[in-house]
Amino acid sequence: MNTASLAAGFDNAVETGVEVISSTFDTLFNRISDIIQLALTGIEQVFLLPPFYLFIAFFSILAWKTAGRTMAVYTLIGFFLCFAMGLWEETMITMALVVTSVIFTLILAIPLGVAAGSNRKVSDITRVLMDFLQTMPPYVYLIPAIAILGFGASPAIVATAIIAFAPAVRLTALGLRHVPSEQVEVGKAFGASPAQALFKIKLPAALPSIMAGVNQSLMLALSMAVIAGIIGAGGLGKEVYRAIRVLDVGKAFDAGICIVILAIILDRISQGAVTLLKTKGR
Amino acid sequence: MEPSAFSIGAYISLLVDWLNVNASLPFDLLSSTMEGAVKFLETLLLWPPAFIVMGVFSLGAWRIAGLQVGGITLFGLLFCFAMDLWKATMLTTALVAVSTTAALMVAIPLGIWSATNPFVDRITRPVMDLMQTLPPWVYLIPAVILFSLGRAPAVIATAVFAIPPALRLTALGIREVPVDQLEVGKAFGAAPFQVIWKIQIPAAIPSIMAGVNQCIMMSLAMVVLAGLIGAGGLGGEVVRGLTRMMIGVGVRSGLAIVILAIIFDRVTQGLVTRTDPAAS
Repeated sequence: MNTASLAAGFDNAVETGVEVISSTFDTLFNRISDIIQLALTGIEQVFLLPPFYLFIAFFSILAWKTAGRTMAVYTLIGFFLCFAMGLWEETMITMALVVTSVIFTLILAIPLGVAAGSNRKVSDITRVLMDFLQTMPPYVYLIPAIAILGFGASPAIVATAIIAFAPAVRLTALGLRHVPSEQVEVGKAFGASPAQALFKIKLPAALPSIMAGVNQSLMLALSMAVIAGIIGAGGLGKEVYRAIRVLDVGKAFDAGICIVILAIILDRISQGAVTLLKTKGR
Repeated sequence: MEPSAFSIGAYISLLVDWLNVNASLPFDLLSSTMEGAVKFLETLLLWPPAFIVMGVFSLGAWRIAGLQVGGITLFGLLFCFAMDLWKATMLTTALVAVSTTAALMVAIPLGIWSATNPFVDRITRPVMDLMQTLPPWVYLIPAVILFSLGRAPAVIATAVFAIPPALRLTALGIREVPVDQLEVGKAFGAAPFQVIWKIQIPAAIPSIMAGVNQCIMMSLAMVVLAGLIGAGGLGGEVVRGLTRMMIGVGVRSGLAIVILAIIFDRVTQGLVTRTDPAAS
């Protein structure tokens, strides 16, 4: 069958294509990679610099404020377990990966969501785009990221940010669209400029929905940040990958438990924030 | 592992060892059933010439979801064939089919049960919440450890991972059947199981189909990821591409996965709209 040679031709074409692109835009990609790396290291330092008990205390209080006392106790015990199992650094690295990618995502997604929420045409285009983004299995996003940025943390963050993008855009747009028109009318009647209407009326009213988008983004980012262990991003994902390959059952479970703990803490705190914002708004 | 560190995993590993020695029979049985089902489907899909399989799938897609989806299916599968990925594509299809079937066999009865029984509902709800919070990676760890590497752990982890949306949407569909329809059934003297079989399930079919769609999409995502634990197929190709820096292989199999995802999604979406009286 000559499909093998066809496939080889395709591979060659892709490889030359990638080479041409990455050599032409070499400086640009390096710059992007540097910026991402810088942001990641900064956030990692913020998480790792304070002694672990300060960090745990801070998060437990945050959980208490947003999600109630049970969650605070859970956070306290959960993070302490991560520390006790000797995986504190890995947990913090994974968390830094998640936070960095979600920040990049939100910087792009919230303005786009605002545009989609206030303009029909933009909304139609983004809907098709987001449908496409959400149909693809997350794993696939690693391929272009690694082709352009090589191994390491930067492609992991780019792929993670792309995955986390769709729900943030969608829920921001949804939130804006559901702001009662009387509120906007009142604002206009009092002579608010369009910018004032957006920042002082629409965005505050859409905040619970935006926060729900942040929650979804965080969860998707976590699942991707863990998968990205395979392309050289550090943290818990790398630990699981390593432990599975050497069949170190104990360590694989330890890292898996830390991932579960982190997932529940991030989910419940951000969901707590959603309900908090909702009740406050009323 | 540092000896000083406290490790929950070490205890779990003891438990796993004990299970492997003392309770290997059910695990072996489950594993060989899954393995056999995948093998059977794979052989079935690879046995006829590829063009016949393509033709059958495209015709099916056309009948279910319209001409456009039929065309997409035909061209998509042709691409997979031309890219020398036919075997991998068919294996991935077989893995998705087996794990989705297994997931639905658990999810639909449980969904019906939790829609009709508040006590069961109170148990399944938090369990589903927890299951949907966990990243897919986490499901692979116990599967690998209980069933070692290969296709069986991939199918089992995938099936477990894909249960929640199907269960939720089944329960939702059953719960949203209008009360007057149930009353009419009862007034005509239908027995409780007749109410379930002849009124509630038929009325809930569109919602169940939406669950099937979600279930298939999650299965595909997971089956691809399971390339990491040696399940083979398109996921295996992606892993090969990623870990050996063979970008061409990665892109090629990545495209095939995207094509498969689009085909599965559109065909099952077609099923949802076909069964939904409100949409037509």
